[in-house]
Amino acid sequence: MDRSATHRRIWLLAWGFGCALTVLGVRLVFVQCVQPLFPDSRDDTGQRIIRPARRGDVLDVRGKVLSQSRLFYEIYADPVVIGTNAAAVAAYAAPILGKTEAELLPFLTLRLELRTNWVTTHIGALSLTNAVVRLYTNRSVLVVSNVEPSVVARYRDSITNLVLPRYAALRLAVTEGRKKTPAAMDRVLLMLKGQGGGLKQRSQDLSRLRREREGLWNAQREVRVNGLIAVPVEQRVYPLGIAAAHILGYTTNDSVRPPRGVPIRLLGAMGIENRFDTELQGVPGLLETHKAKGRELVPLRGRDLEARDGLNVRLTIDSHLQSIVEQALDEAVLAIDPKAITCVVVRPRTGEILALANRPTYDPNQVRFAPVDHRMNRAITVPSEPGSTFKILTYAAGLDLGLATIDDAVDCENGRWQPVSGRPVRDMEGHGLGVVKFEEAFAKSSNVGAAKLGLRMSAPQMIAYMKRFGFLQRSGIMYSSRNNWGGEHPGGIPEPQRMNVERQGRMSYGYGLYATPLQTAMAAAAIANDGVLMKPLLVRSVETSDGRIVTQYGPVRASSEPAIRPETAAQMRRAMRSVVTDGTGRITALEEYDVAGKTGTAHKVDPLTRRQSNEKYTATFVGFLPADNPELCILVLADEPSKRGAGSHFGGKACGPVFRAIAQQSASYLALHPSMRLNSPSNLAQTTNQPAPRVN
Amino acid sequence: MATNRRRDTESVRMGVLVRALLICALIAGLGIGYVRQNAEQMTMGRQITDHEQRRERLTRTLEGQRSTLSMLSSRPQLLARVDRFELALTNATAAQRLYVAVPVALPSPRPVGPTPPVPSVPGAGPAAPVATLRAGR
Repeated sequence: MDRSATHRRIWLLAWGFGCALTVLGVRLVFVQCVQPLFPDSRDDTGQRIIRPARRGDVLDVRGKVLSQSRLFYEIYADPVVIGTNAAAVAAYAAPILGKTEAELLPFLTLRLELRTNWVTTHIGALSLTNAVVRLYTNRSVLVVSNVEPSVVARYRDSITNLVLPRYAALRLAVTEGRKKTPAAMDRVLLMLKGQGGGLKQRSQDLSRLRREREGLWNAQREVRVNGLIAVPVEQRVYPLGIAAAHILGYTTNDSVRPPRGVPIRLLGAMGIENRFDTELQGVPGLLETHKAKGRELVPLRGRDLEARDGLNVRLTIDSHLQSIVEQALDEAVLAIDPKAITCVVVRPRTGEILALANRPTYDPNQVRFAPVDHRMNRAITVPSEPGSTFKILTYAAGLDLGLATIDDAVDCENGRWQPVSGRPVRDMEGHGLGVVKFEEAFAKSSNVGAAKLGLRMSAPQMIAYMKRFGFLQRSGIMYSSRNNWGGEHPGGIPEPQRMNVERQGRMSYGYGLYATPLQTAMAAAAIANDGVLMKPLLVRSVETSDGRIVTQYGPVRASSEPAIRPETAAQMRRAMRSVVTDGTGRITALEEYDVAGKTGTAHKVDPLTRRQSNEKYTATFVGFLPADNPELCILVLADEPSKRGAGSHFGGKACGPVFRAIAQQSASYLALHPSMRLNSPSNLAQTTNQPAPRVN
Repeated sequence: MATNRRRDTESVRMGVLVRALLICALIAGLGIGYVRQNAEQMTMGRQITDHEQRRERLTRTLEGQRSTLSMLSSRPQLLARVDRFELALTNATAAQRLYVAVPVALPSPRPVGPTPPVPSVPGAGPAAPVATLRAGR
């Protein structure tokens, strides 16, 4: 053969193959990259998954969890999707969900309901009301809530094995029918129709069964995927139950529905949950990826942003002290049966609130069952007339202005005194005093003594001192936001422009003005702190989940100037000590610690007669210990304690025992140094005048 | 083949054979390597998702255990266990407590500046110097 012809044929063949392959390659590039044949293929597998952020925790001062988020699931059924297979689904899901079939079946059964909606249409001056009748089916039925993630995972893994009975029968029928022997065909038809037929009829039946089986396969898949849907729910859990409920507050669900698979966002509704809602909320993450056959194709991941969990809020509350207070209030409710009772425990030098509790209370884990008035933080939001505890301010102002000293004499007029105008001032029946020192008048809670001192100053002076002690204004405590109905109440004086001698006199012993228990407690704490009023401190820090501090809050003075001079504060501490040693607060005396305090009993105003009631009182005791070196200031306020005996509703008798129990246990827990009179060589390794090491 | 006819030899040209084998082996190796790498990527991808799910499960478990720890270490629970085990624990009395003096480095008192003006209250009495916070408090 001619060599050149051979070469030509070979080269022609090679060129031909080369061109063909080149065309294929170009077409491949074109189809894959330039103009894909199936442009939506990536969209079919591509998914945008939002990674939910976890809400931050609220901790006590020692890091114990007071409030935490947990992930649970709610299982919803769609009876429309389940259709006639409710019994099969119930039988399959009941053991996994921990229910019986009988309990589950009603939720899965399709129900039709005719509802009549009345629609009013306005046409000019005419209005037409029509009844619109619509047929409703039950969809998205809540079957079970608070399901653990492990149960949901087990359900999801096993649901793929669910086979509907009709599908199982059809699958068997088609399998038998494929054998195509007359006997097999007869068995199939007998199974399904209960009768036989000719060969042509058998083939038609088999085709129909195959089609039905394919349709059922889709329906079965739909039942597996959408019959029972697990919706993630982030639930707020309060491990200590009712403890510190009014401080922590509670959360509600956001009204905005999130994408499927993302828990509904929690919003703080009250308390710290509300005040620090922004800090507690995290920032969701994002994952763009592809999934095929239920598995993620990790190499095809796009953007991968981790969620940033919310910050933790660390309070100044000590959960142990809080528990002591909660228990004492529970015992007080049984003993004196008040309408409400409140307790605040403050560290005077720093303003830290160590415990705060109210009764009635509620369980934040079950907040939807709690009456609204049980959720009120009465210590901060409910003002009342302070009664004789306000004499602390009257005496402090009078002494600070130099109008008297604690050793000066005052004529208490035997319990009845007529000022220059207005109604007479009276002491408690049978408790009238004669000419005594101001110290004794304070200790025995003489209204006459307080009024005489109070009227020595002018009304503007008294109001100025009230403001210096934090009354008539919000303290700025980090609690619910001001616009929230649970926000701090500033207290006040009704119609201050109409002040007269009578009103000023009554204000001297705590009537005609309103103050919250927190304000009274902080004022007493200022006396304990050498006259320096501190801002109440409820939050210590905001931290990341691994403990790094983002923001730290320290003690802050309420004003650059002290409320009173230290010498005045010392005189007041002496007077308040007399209340416990010789006055109305003897019941609060402790063996190991010197207590200083003040009782208060205020008549409440009867809403019907709008006059002072002789049946309803507000009883208070506020005190601090140790008197010479105060570490704790405790206020107990009882609203309408029951009158079970003579004087049982007084501040000393009603609130004194509660104060005593709290003070004794708190001082023991904090290992406070006992008062100097107990320092004997038997229990001191080395005599010291220094304060005990601070236990924090 | 023409070369073989010209040289009149019946032996196989080893060079060409080896080159062909090497090229085939290279192409096959590339293919096998590509498939193995893909398989490894998929395996690692599954491991990643498994680790992520495990981390998520452990985080949830940790949350639950922190919550349980808070509850168990709360005062009511501790007291309940003291009662249950009949430990007869009570608060220490004053005679049982021993206070030991520990030298504490006290912060230096803040310098006292010029006496601040009289408190701004009309009709106030004679003013006294405002003292700083006592050392050690």
